[in-house]
Amino acid sequence: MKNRTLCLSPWRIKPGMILAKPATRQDGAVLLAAGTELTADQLEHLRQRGCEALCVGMPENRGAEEIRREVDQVEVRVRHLFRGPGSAARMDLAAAVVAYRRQGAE
Amino acid sequence: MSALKLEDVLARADILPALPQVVRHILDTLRDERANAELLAERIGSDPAVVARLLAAANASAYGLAGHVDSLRQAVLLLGIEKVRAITLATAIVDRYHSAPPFDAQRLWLHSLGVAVCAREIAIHAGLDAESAFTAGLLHDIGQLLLFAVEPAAYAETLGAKGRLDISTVDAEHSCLGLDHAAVGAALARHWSLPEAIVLAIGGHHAPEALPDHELADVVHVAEVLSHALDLGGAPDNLVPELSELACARLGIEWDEFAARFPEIDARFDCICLMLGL
Repeated sequence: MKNRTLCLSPWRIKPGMILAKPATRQDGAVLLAAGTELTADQLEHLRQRGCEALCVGMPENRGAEEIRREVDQVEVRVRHLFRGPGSAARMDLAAAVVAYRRQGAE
Repeated sequence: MSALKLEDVLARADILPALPQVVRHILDTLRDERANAELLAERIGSDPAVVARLLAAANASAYGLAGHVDSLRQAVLLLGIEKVRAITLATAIVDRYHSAPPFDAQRLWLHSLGVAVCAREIAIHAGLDAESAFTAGLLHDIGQLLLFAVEPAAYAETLGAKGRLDISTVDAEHSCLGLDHAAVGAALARHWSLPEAIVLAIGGHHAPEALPDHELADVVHVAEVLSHALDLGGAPDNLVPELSELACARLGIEWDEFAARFPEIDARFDCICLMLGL
């Protein structure tokens, strides 16, 4: 089955989930490698070391139509948030947020 | 109504409860490298709401020990000083300052936490002090609470105009009240004797270009805009405010590069909301 990658707070992650990207500290040092199946002890250790975001692989249960609908929804929401005129910096931010949200929904 | 005067609003600042002692202690020791977990735990011990929240957070974070963390010292060791500071500041402030409808204090604190989390990441990116940035982010909209406490009818009208005209809070305040929450918040922060850098950051968070290269004001301004853009707190009428190109440039922010931090910001915001039960 196809997997999707989700980035979550370690507080949301349950033992048994598999790291899709390495777990790193804020200074970039790798604490656990991608592919590790997380245990309760490891999760507790990561939280104590100040790791606050982990990317894990989850089975993709959505169909193509549902994915497309979710992508449309996030794009509509971001366009709504950025309604009205703005500076070039605001437009750059809008583009970065659309790309990030689209990637998260796909 | 006629325009409000800053000095008249400030003359009634005592309508809000004083800043809790534990917050003052944290602010006083932000740059003190000798400040340690034990000293902080000693100060926190006198605030039962903060102790309860820290124990809950420590128990939730420790699978193996769940339900068994029953001392403040153990909780502080488990969570680490950075998280203890964040939870303590947020609990002491969020639990203390409430408001009656139509002002939604819960929504204000969710937004403020979002700005605090963004400010922290931006400060790290720019090589600035992350804890001062978190604190300034948490307090940046405190002026809104004072305005509503002092002039509830006029501020309710201001919020109504904001929604009706789909304009920013600052624009609605200028048009209805003749002053804005940034100026009021800075005056209140100064009245509370907060560090001058935090006073300036609160006062300049909507117009950092008016300040000559004040880093913390730049950080809180960009964090404010980013928290709206990432929809942290998710108000239905959320509108991303104008973003200063100068502030972004002064902080060295290129959005296509900084976007790599967005997942961490989302996760950190989720984490602190979970820990605070919001």
